[in-house]
Amino acid sequence: MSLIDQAKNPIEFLWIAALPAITLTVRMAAYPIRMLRDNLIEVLDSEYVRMAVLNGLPAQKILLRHILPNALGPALNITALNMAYVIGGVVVVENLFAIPGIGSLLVDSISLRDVPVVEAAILLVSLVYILGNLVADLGAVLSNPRIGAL
Amino acid sequence: MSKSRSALVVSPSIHERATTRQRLLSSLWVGVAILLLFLVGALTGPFWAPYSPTLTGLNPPFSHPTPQHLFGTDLLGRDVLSRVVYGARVDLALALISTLFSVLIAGPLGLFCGYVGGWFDEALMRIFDVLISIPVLIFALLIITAAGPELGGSGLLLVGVVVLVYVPRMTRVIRASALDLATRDFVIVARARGESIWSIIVRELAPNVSGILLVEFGVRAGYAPILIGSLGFLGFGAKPPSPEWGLMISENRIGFAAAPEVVLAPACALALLVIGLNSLADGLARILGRNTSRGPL
Repeated sequence: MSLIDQAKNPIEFLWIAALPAITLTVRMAAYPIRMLRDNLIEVLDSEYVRMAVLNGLPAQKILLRHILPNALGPALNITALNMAYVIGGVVVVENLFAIPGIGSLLVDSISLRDVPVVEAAILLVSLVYILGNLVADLGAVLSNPRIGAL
Repeated sequence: MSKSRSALVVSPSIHERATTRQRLLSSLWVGVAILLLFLVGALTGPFWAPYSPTLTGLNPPFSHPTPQHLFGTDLLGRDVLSRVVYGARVDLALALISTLFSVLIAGPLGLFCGYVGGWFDEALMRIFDVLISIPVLIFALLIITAAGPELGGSGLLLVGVVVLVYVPRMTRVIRASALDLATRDFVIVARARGESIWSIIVRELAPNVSGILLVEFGVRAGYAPILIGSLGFLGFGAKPPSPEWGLMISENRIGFAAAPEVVLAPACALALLVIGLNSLADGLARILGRNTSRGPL
């Protein structure tokens, strides 16, 4: 991505990124959607939701204010765990769209048996993955006070 | 508004539960049907596939489907239908064998770690934590680099890669169940009877995790073709002229605009196999009361 001329129109930059981004998004979205659906069904069954319904709150408000915050946690968490997917996906997508990114670098250096570069790339990628997991954990704590203090 | 509000309150009625149950079973049967289709195709393929998968120059490259070549021909003029059929042998065999080996290694290992514990368990779990923290495809590429060029592209290496990717993850799942089982009364009673560790693991714990192992097998087997196909696509999996699906997609993508069916045939076969294995695992998991929505990795 960095090879794209920075002076160029940023809209053009987005345009180039669109197809790879869509590919990764479609792949990424499936698990969180299913997770969120399962959690929503569970939360819908709970007593405080029934209470809110009986109190005459509008359905939309119940869904957004009462149900969603409680159902969102695991879905966010699964998104973080799916970082591994994205990173693997990035390697394939970069290869497919001929983007000279870290994934292509990794693949090229593996075929050339350039071990130090492979090690460095994997170290970097794993670092990003671990940081992503950390951010997700912190986000889960911040979004749900019940998980407790840090 | 009132309609959507009532939709929030209603708990599943008996009727709805019945339909849900039917849906679960149908998910299992769809999976079984698709897997059987692939198994039969893979086993009997050589008897009815119209051409050899490696016979080149049957037609000009990327020629369109004809009655002789139902999915057209690929960049070397090979019959795509035959290659997809033979590819089922490669992908299905690699996926099932590697997942089976993973289950066979991870099952006993997980039970031992969970039940016996101790320093071995502690050390192994820390090592596995490290292995799990490396993204799957990256880890697979790392193993392939480490294995060196002599083994490159061999089925043995691919099975080894999948086993190394799966064993840490499966072991953790089995270990967690073993930890839970170890506190149950029947295990405590068995220990009070003076049974040995091995006898408890084999006769008390193993039968109780067999369902979990089965679901693990289904879920992981559903992801294995994706991993093998991705490696093939990147050029680190099966080597040409193997009719492995990922490799076929990669080889023929230069001709995608001219003959999309040449790329779509292996892609759809791969997708269908993964969907079949996943719905099989899903159906099994729900019957056994477990949840697969956490994803395979």
